[in-house]
Amino acid sequence: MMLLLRQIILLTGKDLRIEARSRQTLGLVIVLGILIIVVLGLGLGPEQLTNGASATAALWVAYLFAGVLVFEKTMSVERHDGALASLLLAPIDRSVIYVAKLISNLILMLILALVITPVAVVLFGFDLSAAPWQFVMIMAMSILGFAAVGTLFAAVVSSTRLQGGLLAIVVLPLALPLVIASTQMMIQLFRDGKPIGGTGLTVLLAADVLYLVTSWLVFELILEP
Amino acid sequence: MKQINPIFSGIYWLTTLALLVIGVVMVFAYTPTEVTMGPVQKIFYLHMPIAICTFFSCMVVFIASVGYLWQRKAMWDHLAHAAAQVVVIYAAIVLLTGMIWGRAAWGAWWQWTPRLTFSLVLWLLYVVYLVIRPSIESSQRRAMICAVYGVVAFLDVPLVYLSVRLMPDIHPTSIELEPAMRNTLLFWFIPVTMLTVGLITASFRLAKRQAACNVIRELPMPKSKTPRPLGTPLSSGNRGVV
Amino acid sequence: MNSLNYAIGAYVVGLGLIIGYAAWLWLASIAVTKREKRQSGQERR
Repeated sequence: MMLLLRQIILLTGKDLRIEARSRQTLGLVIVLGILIIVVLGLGLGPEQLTNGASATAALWVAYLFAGVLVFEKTMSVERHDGALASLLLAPIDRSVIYVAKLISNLILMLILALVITPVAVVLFGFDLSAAPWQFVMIMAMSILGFAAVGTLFAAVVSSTRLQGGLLAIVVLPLALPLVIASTQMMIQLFRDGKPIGGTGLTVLLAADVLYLVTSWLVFELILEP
Repeated sequence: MKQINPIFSGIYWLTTLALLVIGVVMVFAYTPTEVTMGPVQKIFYLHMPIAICTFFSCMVVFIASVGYLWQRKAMWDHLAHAAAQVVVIYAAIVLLTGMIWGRAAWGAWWQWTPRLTFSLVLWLLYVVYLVIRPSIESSQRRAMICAVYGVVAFLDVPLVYLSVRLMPDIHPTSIELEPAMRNTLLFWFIPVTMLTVGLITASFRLAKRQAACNVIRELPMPKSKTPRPLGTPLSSGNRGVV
Repeated sequence: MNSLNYAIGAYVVGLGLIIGYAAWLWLASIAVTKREKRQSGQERR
């Protein structure tokens, strides 16, 4: 158990250190997220933005597209200098590689979220005071599920030559239950003022569990140098 | 590849066609019109069996995808591809007939109701399966990516179902079925199921044959038909004599 | 448009899609048969 934990920390640390040194992904992805939110804010305009809860939709679009870039990047670092082959030869369980990549992705997504969520909340006039912690919880659970499938498919897709948009198109439809559940819950919470029922949280929880378990199991089968 | 006896195939398809025709006649001539919704309710007899068979085809995609991940044999990929095509066609039918029904019942082609949203997402899930295939050149890579996608997409379906139930359902539609209506509905399951099995099988066999043809690369025409006599050097620079 | 026409339209669309798909499969199958004949002709040579 301790060995697994150490391996995960080692691998995650490696990925984050690469990102910190190259500083490629994070800046790009944060700015992209902000741009997406601004475009949506401009496009919808004051008459349609009657309720701040539409910030959720803008956030989702930003998370989905920026997130896909994050997942592509953390997987593509393995393509340089035969890094993936070395990783596979090392005495590490494949599922450990999955968990490590997932945590790297989650940390990057978290940083992304910390920046662009306030941007969206402000630009869309989203009053979170009614249920701030539920908002955080819903977004956190949704991002977890999204990162779980995203990490899996980034690995599946990564060695394909023609990549443009391939990861986005496979991950987006799979993430739709998360989008539906979270936006419906936001509407319930903030527009209708009702507390979240058990169903919504169950759906998010079930989604997270399903995505995590499936991705973890399937990851074993798909990693090829 | 074993050929299907063309007589059997012919009888199968003719029977299916005949049953479909009978079914249509039943719907419009024999089945009574539902009182509250009017004639548009008749869409139900087509919509429901197709919806069930869509789910059945999704299961075939799932099983075939698991099969590929487990055995890595191309035939699983062909089967998954075939079933996915049927899912897309059927889900399109479910979606369109649902929209037509909605248009007649509520005046709008689209409402974000649980049922319609579910149909839309299901259709999208499997459209993506078909659309990504041409983007991936290596046939093994393609089969792999699609197999993983096929597995996760199927597991996603109950999640979509649960999540859309959070949406407001303005127009619940539950219908009381008289005996004549129940008969028609049950009857329609026969040709629709035959169609499903037939279409998946036909598409699967087609995919196998196409893959077999792609393996045999087209040979270029030889320049001259007379064989070169033994002992003639192949070219000036060549050392070997054949 | 009267409600019955919507029902008929739905059947036309639904069955039309199925027939269209079946026809596409059939045409593709004819094309493959041609390719198979051409290739087996080549092999014999």
